[in-house]
Amino acid sequence: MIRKLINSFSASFPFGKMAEYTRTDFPFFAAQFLVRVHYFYFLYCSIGLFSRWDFTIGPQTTIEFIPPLAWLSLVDFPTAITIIRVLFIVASLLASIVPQWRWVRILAFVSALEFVSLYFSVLLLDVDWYVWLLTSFMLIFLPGGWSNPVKLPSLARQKFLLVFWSCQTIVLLTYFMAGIGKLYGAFMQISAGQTNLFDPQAGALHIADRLVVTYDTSPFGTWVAGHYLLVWPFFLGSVYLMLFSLYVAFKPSLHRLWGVSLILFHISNYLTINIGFGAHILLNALLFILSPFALDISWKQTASEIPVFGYVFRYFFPKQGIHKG
Amino acid sequence: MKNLTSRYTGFKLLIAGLLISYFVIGLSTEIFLDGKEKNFPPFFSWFLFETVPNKNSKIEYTIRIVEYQGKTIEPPVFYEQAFGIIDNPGSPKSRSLIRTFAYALERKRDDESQRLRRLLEQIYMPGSIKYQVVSVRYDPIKRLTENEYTVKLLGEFTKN
Repeated sequence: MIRKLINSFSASFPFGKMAEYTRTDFPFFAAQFLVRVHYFYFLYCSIGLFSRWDFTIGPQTTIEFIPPLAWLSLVDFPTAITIIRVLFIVASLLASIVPQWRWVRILAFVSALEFVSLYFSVLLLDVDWYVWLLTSFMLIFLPGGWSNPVKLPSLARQKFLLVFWSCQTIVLLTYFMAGIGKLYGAFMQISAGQTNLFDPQAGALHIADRLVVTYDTSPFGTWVAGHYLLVWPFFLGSVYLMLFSLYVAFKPSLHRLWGVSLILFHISNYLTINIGFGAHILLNALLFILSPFALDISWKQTASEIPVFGYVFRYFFPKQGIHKG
Repeated sequence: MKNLTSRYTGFKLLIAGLLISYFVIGLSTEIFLDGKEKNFPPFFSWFLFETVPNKNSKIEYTIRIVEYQGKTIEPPVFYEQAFGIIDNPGSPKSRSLIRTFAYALERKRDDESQRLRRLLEQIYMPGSIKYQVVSVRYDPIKRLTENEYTVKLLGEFTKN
């Protein structure tokens, strides 16, 4: 039974189907372009994210130990911030020019890790940037030889696309884990007889409490908090979006729909609880709206594969073919 | 050809293994690093806003500033609203530190609260300031829409 399951899994997208995506040039060239854009964003952020050289605020490593910054005790803070930022600028520039070289991609990941760790320690560079660290780590495993992409053999192109898919999947995995967290929290709160995820006021309570705790404002937060029944379906919808994210990794027909939906989720958060997650939005757009695997897919194919609701659609439109994914 | 195929199979296993590993390690941070689960970038459980704030009584910890540079502030102003007194009152790092400090104070962990007080005053507090550490009880929606809450004093301190 288990062997059958593994064989079925191995034969489906992506592990058993990647060869189909090398029959035309578009998927590989699209993925290659997106990888380059990934490093262009690093280059932009290496200077644009925090353009001022501010040596006045020290790291919070005396409060919270962050392993990538363990070496900060050996140097003074101005030296440390200079090393980290210059390294990130140089690594991003190299990765923008020659992303084909593995050592450059490794350097880009390490420098990004130090950069993110430093600013997480000192300022508010929260988990928003963690997904970029994850994708830059996975990109280390890209095959060699794509300096001349036209001559790259099919197997190398498959490996390239598989790594690109792994970037998509690790991002979707983070949303899936967030969904698990929501269910776990709901279980704990229901067990304790507390307000929980399934309370109609849940979404409004999150919004109100966030704005109160941070003494922040947003365009629609206060209004939404006062009209909790309107926000409740969207709140439950966001949990659904997260829980089925990992499933979507294996369904190319859903990549674009899920990418747009996740972006809308972040935009709505920004408009209500003032949490931007701009880095997530850009990465979702790169990985999913332009997914190299979402080729020639009709809206009916997409609708038939939507988790849970696809069953309803197939009931009314039973003749829809299933996409090769 | 067979060698290439087996290497590709090994590559697929590697990718799958990395993804599964991240899932396991990420969730593990929630179990083994409670309160510090974000401190090992990029490993993280992604448990964000996993519990719904209690609609009847949410408790939050903060600071109220009662005196600054010899002048009494009436009514006392919350730390997060103390623009002109605190350099960056919206800093999530300071908010986290204040919360930890207040928690230690409430549970009478003297050594820990003294250490955290020193850190707080050294990094975030200006000189000549008298402040109270308080717990605030509220319904989030009522506090946002009607500004209703109750305050309990945990301690009062002065930094010269």
